[in-house]
Amino acid sequence: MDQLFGISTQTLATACIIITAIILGILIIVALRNPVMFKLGLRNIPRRKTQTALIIFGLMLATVIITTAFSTGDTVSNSATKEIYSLLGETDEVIQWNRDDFPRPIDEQLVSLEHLDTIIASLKNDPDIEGYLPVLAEQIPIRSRSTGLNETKSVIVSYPSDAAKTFGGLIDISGNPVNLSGNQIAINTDLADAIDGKIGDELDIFVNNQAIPVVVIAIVPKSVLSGTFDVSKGNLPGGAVALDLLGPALGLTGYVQAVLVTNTGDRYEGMERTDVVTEKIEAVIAELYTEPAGNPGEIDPSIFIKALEKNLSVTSEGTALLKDIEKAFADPELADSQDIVTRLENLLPNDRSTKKMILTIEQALTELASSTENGPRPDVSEGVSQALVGRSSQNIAALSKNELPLYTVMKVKQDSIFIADIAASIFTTIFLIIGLFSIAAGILLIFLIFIMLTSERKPEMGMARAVGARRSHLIESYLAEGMGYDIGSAVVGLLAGIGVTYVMIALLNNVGNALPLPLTASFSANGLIISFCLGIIVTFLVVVFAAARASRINIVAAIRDIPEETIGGEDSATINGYLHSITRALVGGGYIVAGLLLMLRFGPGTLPILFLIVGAIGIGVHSLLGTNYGASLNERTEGGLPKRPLLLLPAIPIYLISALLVKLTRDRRRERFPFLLQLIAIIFPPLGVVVVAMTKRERTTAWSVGYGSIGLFIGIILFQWIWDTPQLALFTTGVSLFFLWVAVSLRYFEIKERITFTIIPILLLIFWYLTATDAYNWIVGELDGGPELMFVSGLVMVTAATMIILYNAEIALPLVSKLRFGRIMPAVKTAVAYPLRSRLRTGMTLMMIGLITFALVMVASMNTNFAQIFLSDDAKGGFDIQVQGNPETPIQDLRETLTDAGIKTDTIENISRIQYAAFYETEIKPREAEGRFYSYGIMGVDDEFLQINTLEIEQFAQGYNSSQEVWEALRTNPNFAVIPHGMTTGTNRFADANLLTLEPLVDNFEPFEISLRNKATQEIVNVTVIAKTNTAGDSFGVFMDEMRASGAMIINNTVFETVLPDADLEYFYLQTSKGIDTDKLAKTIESALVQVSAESLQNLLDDERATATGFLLVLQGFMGLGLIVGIAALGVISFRAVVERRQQIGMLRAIGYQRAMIALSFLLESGFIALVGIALGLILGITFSWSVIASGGIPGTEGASFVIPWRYLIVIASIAFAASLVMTYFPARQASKVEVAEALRYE
Amino acid sequence: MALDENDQLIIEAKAVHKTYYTGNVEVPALRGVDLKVQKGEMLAIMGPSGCGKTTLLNCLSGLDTFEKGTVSINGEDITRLADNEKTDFRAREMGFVFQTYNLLPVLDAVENIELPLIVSGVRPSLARKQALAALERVNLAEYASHRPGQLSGGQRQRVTLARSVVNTPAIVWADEPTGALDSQTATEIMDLLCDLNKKEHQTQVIVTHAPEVAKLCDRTIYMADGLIEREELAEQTT
Repeated sequence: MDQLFGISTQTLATACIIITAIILGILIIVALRNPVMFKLGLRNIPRRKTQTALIIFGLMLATVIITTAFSTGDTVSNSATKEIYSLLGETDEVIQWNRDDFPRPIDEQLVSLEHLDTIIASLKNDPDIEGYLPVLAEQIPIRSRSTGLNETKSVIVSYPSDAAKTFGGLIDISGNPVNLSGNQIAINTDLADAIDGKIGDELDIFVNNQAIPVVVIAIVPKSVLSGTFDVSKGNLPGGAVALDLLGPALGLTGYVQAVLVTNTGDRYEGMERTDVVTEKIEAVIAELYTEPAGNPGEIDPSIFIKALEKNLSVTSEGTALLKDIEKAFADPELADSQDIVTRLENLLPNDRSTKKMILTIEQALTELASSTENGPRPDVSEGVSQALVGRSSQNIAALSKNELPLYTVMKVKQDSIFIADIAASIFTTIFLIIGLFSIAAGILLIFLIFIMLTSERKPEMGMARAVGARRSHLIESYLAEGMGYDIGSAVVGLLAGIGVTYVMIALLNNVGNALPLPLTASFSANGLIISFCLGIIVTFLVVVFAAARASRINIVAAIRDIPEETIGGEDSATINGYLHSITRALVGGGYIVAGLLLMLRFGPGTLPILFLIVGAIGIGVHSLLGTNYGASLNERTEGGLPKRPLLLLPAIPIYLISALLVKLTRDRRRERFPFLLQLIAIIFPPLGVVVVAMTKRERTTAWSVGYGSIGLFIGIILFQWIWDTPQLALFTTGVSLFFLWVAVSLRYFEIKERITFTIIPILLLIFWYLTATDAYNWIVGELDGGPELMFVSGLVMVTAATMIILYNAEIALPLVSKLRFGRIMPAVKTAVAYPLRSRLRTGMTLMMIGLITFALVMVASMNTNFAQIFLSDDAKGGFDIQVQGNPETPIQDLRETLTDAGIKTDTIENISRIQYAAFYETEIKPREAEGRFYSYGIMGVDDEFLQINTLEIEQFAQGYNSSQEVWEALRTNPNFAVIPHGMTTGTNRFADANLLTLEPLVDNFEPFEISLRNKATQEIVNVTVIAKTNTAGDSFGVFMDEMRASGAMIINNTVFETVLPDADLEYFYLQTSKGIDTDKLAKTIESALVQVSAESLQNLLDDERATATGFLLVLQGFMGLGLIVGIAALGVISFRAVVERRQQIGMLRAIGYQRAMIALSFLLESGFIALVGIALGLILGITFSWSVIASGGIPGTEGASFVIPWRYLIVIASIAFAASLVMTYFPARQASKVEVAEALRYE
Repeated sequence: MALDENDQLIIEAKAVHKTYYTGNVEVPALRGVDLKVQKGEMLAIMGPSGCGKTTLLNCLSGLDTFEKGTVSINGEDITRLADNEKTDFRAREMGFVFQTYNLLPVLDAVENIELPLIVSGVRPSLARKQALAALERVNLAEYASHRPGQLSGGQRQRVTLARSVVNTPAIVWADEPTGALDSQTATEIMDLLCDLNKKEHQTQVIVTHAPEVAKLCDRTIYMADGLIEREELAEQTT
């Protein structure tokens, strides 16, 4: 995998190494500067072995998750790449008919051998090209006479065997060369599997309804030389025969379907010459074989934006570029087309169609720009042209004279590998986004662990402070300990991640037909480096934060190990104190955050740079304020400027400015500043830094208010951002940050915490539930949601719900007292009391478990509901068996054909025939609409289908009230049409087909016309839309191989045959008598009729469901890693609790708690937390997915009823609960074994 | 209360030996202690640090085990009891007061006090009633819903006292009950203990360093090197 989120993995790895090196450098400096504190920290590691093991286990999970996500991507990428090299062999490019510009029926899309000879002659002795291979390729039915089995979709190829030698020649599975002559065939392994073929078998191949007998002389691996052209498919039955057998049978002389090209060098090196070779061949073609193009003037630039979406919307960079292109069209005068072209070049494959897109965009921009009042903009066209020069000057020249080449050169190998990389990147992105839940839980765990470690060490640290250790020393000591765990756990995590990847890959390989190729676990150095370093970096940041927090101790309280009292400054809850806190937080990092955000949002400008520079000085001032250097005259002792930041050379000038500022202000400190000045200080950063430098050091700062207000600033920028990038995640995150600011502000002004942290989270939850609906459209318009929303929603909602629970849990205590628990009552009482009153620990553990449960429930719930919506039995449309005909041997009357073949048809009640035109054959647009046609699949159905199908209509045009009425109308009026559900919803970005989407229809809509155009003949027919099917109408087409993307428009077959006479795909849908074994009948049909393939629809449906479920299980397994985090947290807390509560356990034992009751109390305590966390995740997950489905927030789910996957949920909840109890068993046992007298000692 | 030969014996320890093992080092803590305590007696145990006072209290109350000797409470040889039986016995018959209070920080005062009752299987509503009554007796009724962290040291010790007597135990064991308190609060606590001893006729065994505490007891035993060195009756204590 070369890219992730649009950034090269090499860059990511380098950045990670640099940051990790800096971290390690800091550690080395700390160790050298203060070896005592460093050792003090490190020596804690082996003190409690079980706890250390648990901590390392908890910390490593982040690394495991990141490693698994990356390695899964690498595995997909490497497996796909390996498969591509193996299938394509020496073939690098393919020359074929330019069907985009010159549409023709498929059997007329040929390359003239005469033209090929001229091309070869023109490029004779070219050092980059090693050879050419003209190939005949045809999809042909095959039957084995030996086994009686048949295969309808074999691709049989034929080519001159001499020329094939340059391509490695045809080699059998044992590695021996195969020479074909006469009626001999070499079959590939997939075909051999399908027909149980062996050497010596006699086969019939059916060409133009004629059976040609052939003999199998070899079994060969799948490759382009044995019929494998579509490398994206998993099953590729095919074979090769001699040229003098297939050519005459097909009636083709002087033409072939494709010409393979191999570049100089082996199969790997050759690809590097692809761009040069393509350029050369295209140049020759452009010079010799061009014809006037259709109507270039009619080209609408939005066509290309739509087409670009497919490639660009994968990354955020691409999405931003799309927006810029749209903007450029809206305002071509201001457009920076040079920039657009450069970015397009960086993001898109370097192929011909891309160039054409870019050129068209450039033409459109030029045209628009020159039509403005300011006259032409030469820089616009010049910039684009310059960018295009050097790619294919001949090609551009041909395009500029409105002539287009007859043939196109496909960079098959390069493009396939590019697509494999995108697929891998998608896999990694999915796993990373899902892994984010676990990573978030992991971060909480790391934080929790360090909170507990620091609370354990409080008396020691208090003593250290008392005898002269500084805060920084404490931080360094924690850092040493934390990083000891960190580095150890990153190593373990990396190894464990590799192990988990093997398991994940094994699982993925067993997920039905979800993947087109078998995966072999593989790892890249970059992926492993990124995973290892990210593990270290994430833990380091959390450790630093936790250590800084822990080092702020009251020495007396720490030594006596008593709770610290909250010190309220005299200006607490005042506006002035509030503004001071904001200024302080801004100086302490806030300006940097603001500067970076502004730069990200608006690009580098004066304001962001000012923020960054002043922010850096602010950090310097902030760090010096706590030192002796920053002390005022009466507190200052001897000693100069602390030297440590000087280690970072680039920071020296900034640091010196900070030092100067502190020196000038340290003896002029004031208690406070006037309100107005304090306010201006916030808006004007330089003043802010000065004000902070001049404020008395003792002044209390409410950091939560400070950082909460920075959150508000971020929220406002995110909110503003949606006007350019209408992303729901920006809006929701922005608003959530606003709520956070309100909460911390109310708390600062001493509004009762329980009220604040109950009402605000409730409002936040309401806000999130409503995001699934259109409730905010009136403010922000329509916004796009992506998978990241699942993570943001989970994080915010679980946090909000946790707050509500924690701040209201005390209400539950009296209730518990009232319940009767018999003899275990004492255990229940303590079990409930501890978690409810240790808010921070309980809250973080609840969040961990809640987050993961939420994610598991959301994925299970959405998956089940999608399966319910799209893969319900309704998708069968009332039919039982699908029979696919073969274009080479069309069937007019299936019943008759079956009877002729000796099959009893009395159990077949009805047979409907559907003709199908794939998206590459037809295009449509609303008749009234301006602009282009869109590729779209069309189904032509017969009267039988219209009379018996059970597909439900979702929306009716005026005058229709039932599905029957609609189908009857379509039967009697051939000019009517029914559109699929998917046509009025979102675009499928991962498919070429179905680019047209209509505005959602309303009930009783006015019938409207759609123009349908035959791509080859350009003939147009208008049909009137009278209804839209429900989602089952989309899924009905899933069973047709050619239209897996989504449904097709349904029209009467009489119109279909008129406008699409060449569309030769045909399907038969059979309705059988009740009680018939449809699978058996399908097999009987298939074995009797060589030219068809038949499948039970129930089987097809079950396969689809199995794939969905299998994939779900793999994802669930991956997310389950996060559950381990939550459970580990419970273990850590329990072990820690045993240590902390030793005396209390002793006391409980003294007053009569038996050992078992102590153990039970611990078990119940963890069980209680686990139960609440699981319930929280379950409730939020179910209700939120309900709100998403019920509100129709996701295209295709409108009007669907919500199904709760109880079975999954019960399994998830039970596993989580049982695991948490198992984890707590050990500390509980340890607690019960505490010796009373020993525990009660208090020295 | 004056010592009466005819009073029934409640605690009887014979030749109690207890040794602590720290790695390879053996530290004999009790070296054959014999002790008899009468019902309703208030006994103080004094002696220098490390002489075995707390160890003796722990062994007598069944909190700790010992190698040799026997301890009978109310005629029941507790050395023969299984751990669970011993625990139940403690819940029924004993109350404890510790120097560091050992209250559960997560429970409020009344909840802390009712714990021994709940352990003994008393109905929660009745336990609450009795706990409130006990709190009343130590003059802390208005602090029922305060958690230990919200109480002063003296108040916490009073809560501990209330907890130790809420189940009307036969014996209250107190280990340095005034050790962490100022003199005025210590006096208040001792007054309370004496009051309970008189009114409830409770046996009290108090480990202390403070002579003024010992002075309030019926009898004081002095320990040294794991043995009872001497004993003094109330009138003789100085």
